[in-house]
This record gives sequence, C-alpha cells and structure tokens, in this order.
Amino acid sequence: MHNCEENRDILIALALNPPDQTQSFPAELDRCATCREEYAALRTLLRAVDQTKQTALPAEKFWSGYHTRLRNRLEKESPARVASPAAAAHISLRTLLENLFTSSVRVPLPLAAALLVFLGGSFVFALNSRRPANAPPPVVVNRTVEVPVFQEKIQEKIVTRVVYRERDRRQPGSASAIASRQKESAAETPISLVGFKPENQVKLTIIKGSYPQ
Amino acid sequence: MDAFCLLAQRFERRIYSLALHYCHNHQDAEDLSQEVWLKSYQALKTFRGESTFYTWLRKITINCFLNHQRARSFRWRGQTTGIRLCDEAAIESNERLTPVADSENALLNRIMIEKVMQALSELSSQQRLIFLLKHHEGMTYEEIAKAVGCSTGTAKKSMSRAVIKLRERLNVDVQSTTTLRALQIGV
Repeated sequence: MHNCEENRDILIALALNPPDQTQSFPAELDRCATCREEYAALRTLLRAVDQTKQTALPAEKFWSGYHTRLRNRLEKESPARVASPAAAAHISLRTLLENLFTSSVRVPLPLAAALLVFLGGSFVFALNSRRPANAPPPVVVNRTVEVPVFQEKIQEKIVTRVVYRERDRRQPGSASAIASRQKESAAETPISLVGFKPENQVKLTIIKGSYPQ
Repeated sequence: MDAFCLLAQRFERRIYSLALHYCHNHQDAEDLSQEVWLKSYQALKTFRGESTFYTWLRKITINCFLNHQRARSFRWRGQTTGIRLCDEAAIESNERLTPVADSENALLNRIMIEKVMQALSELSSQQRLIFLLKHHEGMTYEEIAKAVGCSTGTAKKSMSRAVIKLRERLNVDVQSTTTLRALQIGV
C-alpha cells in the first residue's frame, strides 16, 4: 500500500539529485499524483534557493572594497608573517612567554597543597637562614688541632679451670687405701689445657661434699 | 601575502555566498568570510595538499560557522524586524548591471531572495548549515556528518526537516504564482 508520508524522504533525495535520462523516476511514486506534485514542489523550492545563491551576491564594485578590507585585516591581524625576522623572533618569544604563563596543568588537590606547603616552608627556611647583607665575610684560620683518639683495648679473658677430684674417704693408713692410691697414681695422667677453648660463659658445677672440710 | 590574496580572490565569492546564506546579513557575512580567510592564512602551513585547497578551506569555513554558532557571537540583525538582505547600493548596482533592466523582474528577484533568506533564517543553525553543505556544496551525508560532528542519520534527518520547513515557510506550490513568476526570471 502506497503511503505518501513514508516516501517523503525519498522524494527529497530525488529532488536533491534529480534522475537524469539514464535513470527513471520510481514507478511507485510516478503513479501517485500527490507524490508527483510534492516532487515538483520540492524541485521548485530548490531551484528558488539556487537562484537566490546566484542573485544574492553583491555587485561587482563591492568586491574591490572587500579585497582592500581583507588585505588590511590580514596585514593588521597576522603581523608575524609580514614582519622582519627579528620582529618575528621577538613575537615568537613573547608568544612562548605568554604560553608559559597562561598554560595550565591539571594537578590533584592534595599534591598541589603539598607542593604549596613545601614551597612555603622552603621560602621561610631560606628567609631565616639568609645572612645579613652587611655581615663580614667569614675568617678562615689554618691551625693544627690535636684530637686524642681512643682506641678500644681488647680485653683478655682469663679462664681458670678448676677440676675437683673425688677424695678417698677410706682410712689413710689402711692397706687397701695405700694399694688403691698406688693404683690411681699409676693410672693418673698429667692434667693439661691442650684442646681447651675458653667460652664466654663458664658453667661451674659444685659437687656437694667434695670441698675439703 | 599577494599570492594568498590572489588565491582568496578565486574562492571569495563562494565563501561569501555560504556565509551570507548562513547568517543572512551582509555585514555578518563579510565578518565571517574574512575571519575564514584570516584563519586560513594563519593555518596555511598546515595545508599538506592531501585534499584540494577548497576542501581544506571549506573545513575552516565550517569550523568558523560552528564557532560562531556555539559562541552566538553575532546577533540576528533584522530577524524580528524583517530581513534587509542587500544594502541599497548593492541592489541598485545589481539592477544597473542586469542586462534586462526590467524593474518588475528586479523587484520579483528581490522579493524571492528575501523570502528564501527569511525562510532559511527560521531554520535552526545546524539545519541551515547542513542544508547549505548538502544543497550548495554538494557534500555527501558522510562528509557533512564528519564536518559538523554528528551522525550520518542526524545529518539526513536535519536535511529532511530543513527542506520540509522551507517548503512550509515558502509555501511552495506548483501553482504558486509568486514563486513561479520569480523562478521564471533567469530560468
């Protein structure tokens, strides 16, 4: 079923780019009298706009004045191109400085605050530590100073090994005691400190009853 | 500078015509078109020859139009009081230059221009720009969408609405005597 409203966009597209001899007008639209009229009206409208495009332009004498004004404006508002190299360099330097002071960088607020505090602190510190302008220059004195140097002495540790020997509790004059004493003296080896390693801590074991009364 | 002025001379009418149809006021059209030339002069270094000079220039023109549209820097002079499209001197000289010095034809011409310009001024600025780019410049919808910064569908819809609005405002009818008579001139 043909609907004229639905075909309006197609008619507009056709009116903008009218079919030439090789292309044909869509048969569906050609059969509808309303669409044909709409198409004709759109073509009329676009022709009217076209004609306006040509006739609305000002007269020839306008263009000479237009040129003069354009040239003046170009010379006035873009001096960098026509100026001397020195002036151009000056202008570019000025532009650079302007950009330096006018350009902005996005900084997070805490970082900006920290930077401000740091700069402020540095400024205050610099003010306090600054020498007065009229202060005399510092005097340089060359003198030899003897400074005692204390060397740490290595402390020697003397460790004494105490060896207790079990005492013979038998009667000294008995025959068995004499025999056992002779046996012990034969088996007894001389005490030496060979292989002894001193330690920081010495464990001392006291055997009860071994100390002579 | 001289070379650039020669280049400007070649395309100035086309740019001026676009500006005039966009802002329908000679003073604004001159300001706008001169701004286009100024910007293109300043940006001449950036022209790499990848497209034609006019395509590059048209891009600058569209950007200038969009900037004006955003900034709303120029007022619609005469929008409420009726459009005075051409200054008297320009019209008079146009009339003198017309080969057929028919005052009736000149009057019809003037009426038609004013009616069309009035109808164009009643479009939204985006519709007007899209209509001019499509109808005057013959750009594709894809090119328009890219230049204006909208989707192709939006460009098509804006164009369609613009044509329908113009048709309603101008009350174009096949039997419309005023339009037909106006159209007979120069056809």
